[in-house]
Amino acid sequence: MDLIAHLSLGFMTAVSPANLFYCLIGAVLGTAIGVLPGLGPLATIAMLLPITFQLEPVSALIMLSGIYYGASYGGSTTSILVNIPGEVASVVTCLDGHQMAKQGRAGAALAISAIGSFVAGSVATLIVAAFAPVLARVALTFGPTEYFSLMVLGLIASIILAQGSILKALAMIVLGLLLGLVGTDPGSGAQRFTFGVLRLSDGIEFVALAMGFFAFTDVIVGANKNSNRQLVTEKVKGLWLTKDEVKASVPAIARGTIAGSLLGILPGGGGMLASFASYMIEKRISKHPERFGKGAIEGVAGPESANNAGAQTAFIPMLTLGIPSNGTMALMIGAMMIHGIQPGPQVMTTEPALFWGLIVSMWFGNLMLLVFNLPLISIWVWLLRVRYNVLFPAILLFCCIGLFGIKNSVFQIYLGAAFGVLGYFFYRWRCEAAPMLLGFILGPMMEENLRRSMQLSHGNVSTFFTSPLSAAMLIAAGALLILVLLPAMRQRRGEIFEEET
Amino acid sequence: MNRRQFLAAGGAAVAYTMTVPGMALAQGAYPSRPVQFVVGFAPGGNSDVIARRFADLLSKQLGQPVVVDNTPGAGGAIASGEVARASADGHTLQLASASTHVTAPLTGKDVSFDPIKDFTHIRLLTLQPWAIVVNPQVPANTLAEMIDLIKAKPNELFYGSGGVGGLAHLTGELFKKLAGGLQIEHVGYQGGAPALQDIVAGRLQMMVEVIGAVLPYQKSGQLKILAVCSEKKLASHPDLAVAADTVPGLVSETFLGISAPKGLQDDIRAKLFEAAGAAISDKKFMEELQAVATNPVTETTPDAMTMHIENELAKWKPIVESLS
Repeated sequence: MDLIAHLSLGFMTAVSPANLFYCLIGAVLGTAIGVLPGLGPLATIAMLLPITFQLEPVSALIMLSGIYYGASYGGSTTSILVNIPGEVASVVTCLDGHQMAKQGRAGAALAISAIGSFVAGSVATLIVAAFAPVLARVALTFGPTEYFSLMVLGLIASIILAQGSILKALAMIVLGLLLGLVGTDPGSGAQRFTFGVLRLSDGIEFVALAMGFFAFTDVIVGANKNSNRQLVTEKVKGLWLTKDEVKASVPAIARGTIAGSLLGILPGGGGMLASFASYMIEKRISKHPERFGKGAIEGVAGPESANNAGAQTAFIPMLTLGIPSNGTMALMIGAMMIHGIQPGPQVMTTEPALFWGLIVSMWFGNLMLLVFNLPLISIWVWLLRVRYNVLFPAILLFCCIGLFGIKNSVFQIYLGAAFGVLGYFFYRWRCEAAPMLLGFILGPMMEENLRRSMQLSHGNVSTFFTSPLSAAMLIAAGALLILVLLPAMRQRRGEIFEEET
Repeated sequence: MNRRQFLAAGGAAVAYTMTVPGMALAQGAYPSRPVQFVVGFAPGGNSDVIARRFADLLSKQLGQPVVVDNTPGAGGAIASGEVARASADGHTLQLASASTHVTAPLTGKDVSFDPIKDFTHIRLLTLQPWAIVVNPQVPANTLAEMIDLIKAKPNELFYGSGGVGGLAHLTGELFKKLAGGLQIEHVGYQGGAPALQDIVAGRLQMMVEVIGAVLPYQKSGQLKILAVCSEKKLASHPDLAVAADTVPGLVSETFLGISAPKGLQDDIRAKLFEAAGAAISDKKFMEELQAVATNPVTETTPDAMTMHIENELAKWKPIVESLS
């Protein structure tokens, strides 16, 4: 079989001592930068790129990839422990992961996030190996019309994120959409709601918004309570998973892996939605949706798996079409070109050792991450026993460093602080931040794709229904909307969205 | 601030305090402390990668660390504004580009600097021409055939670029104007990659992109390069047609250069001109640049960069005005 021959060629490349070493370096470095908020894989890879010019092309790519997926592992640690989301995907992990930590289950949350990521990473690596060329064609069929319909579906589904009142969740989604309008108009280049502030012309920075509403708000809320408390209010109950937790997590990991693998293929920001999508699926099908937001382990296992699966399948458009699905992938294409390798469909035939070596190394990298991360859990959990009045200045400091690092400017810190204060009021009013953040992410993408579809169809709205993919997603969105709005569904909805008491 | 900059800044602070006692003695010896090299783009872009390699080579020439300082935002206008207000002692330099010094000041309303008067432009570093590419299904193999096709189907075809008001967009508009008022609608994207996806998939018929980014797609048969907007044939790719042969005057190249705030002393300027020239002529660096179809500028004069920017501003101003 071809696949086995390819994988064994890749295996031979990947297990050379040098390549294993670079894989390890990449994975460890990736975890480290994932743990530090603000410093992303893109910046790290950019800085290390010149060093990799001296390496063999395959070693260089193995190391750079390790940083990339290592960072998606590490990002969950700060979300779970101290409620700092460093990237889009970690926001979802904050919801239930941090709640678990507060209940003394940080060890279980970290363990399931590492295990889920490993399983998802392994499965997604196999998917890349077996189906890359086929899936690449799927990625190409996704145009602005299909993206718009996907965003509509996402936006309607985001109501599921709400834990309290639906009305408040809707208001928060709209607020997120409005905040997403700030910046340069994608169609005309005009400035919207920037009030003459040049720094707002690129829009509000997601990390500033997320850190403000999660980490800063959390600190203000914490400071309002007993200052002598510890972050973990109850005793730390064991580091390992209980039987029930394993039972709940296994199907969640499987579903998250599928959702993440599919969304990761889409170059237009699909990967960003993977963890949100998985969280909404878990909550929607759960028999006890009221547990979500209060430390449901499926709410950690699913999204973490989805996130890592998506990070892995994001390599498909890059490796098979030469089209980068995000900034990090664009940089990897640059690295290939400097090494004299032309990215594109021919890489598989002209550089088989590189192509399959890279894929197999991803699996090794994921394994290393698991082995490396599990022993760290006890150290992380120990950190939580630090008294809160010592811990919170450290949280603020790391957030500020992260915020400053986004654009080398204090403006982002002010922005984060302002959102922190606003977030505190929303906390008091019981308005949740997660639906707002999803609105903020979806809004600009939706607008851009809507305008582009209208332009490319010469203003013909029927374009959304003549594309079968787009039509299917709009129908699904309509069905979901009816499900939410139908009065007959009130009672069922009461179970899904626990009404405010 | 990312980690390397953090460490470098820490190192810089230490180095600075150590040199303070000797400052009076070292006054004439530039550079007396690490040099800040402001890059107006986020880490990871093409320009950033080139800037880091260049900074490394420049620091070997100057004997002091050259620290890359990413200040992204507003197409590089934030970085230009900060450099324009910095001290002109040669310790703050900027990676100037078509974006930071031509399109950002031409298109931005809230821009706080003058791209000529507020700067001492030191030396051009690289030039890279724009290419006009089409999807392989488009029945045109030359620029002349494409012009005929657009004329036959007015307002039916689309071309994409990496951003509204960017040089690629302006180049497309220049093409339309010089070819006799072509009617092909522009579709703006956030960066070149999403536009590439739509042209490879056939949703866009044409695109303007830097030649280095589209060469791989031509090799794999995913795109056809109709012409490059360089002044003459590319030495590295003599097979590619030159746009100006079909459409006289259609020349457009994106540049990178090194600039400082206005009022830089002449001797420091001369020293930086020499050092930058030596750095860009590094054999290995030149090979890396050519691998991504970026041409290092090895022969130039100290006045060439200011003249280049003045010419570019004059060339694109009417196009920008016709758009708004």
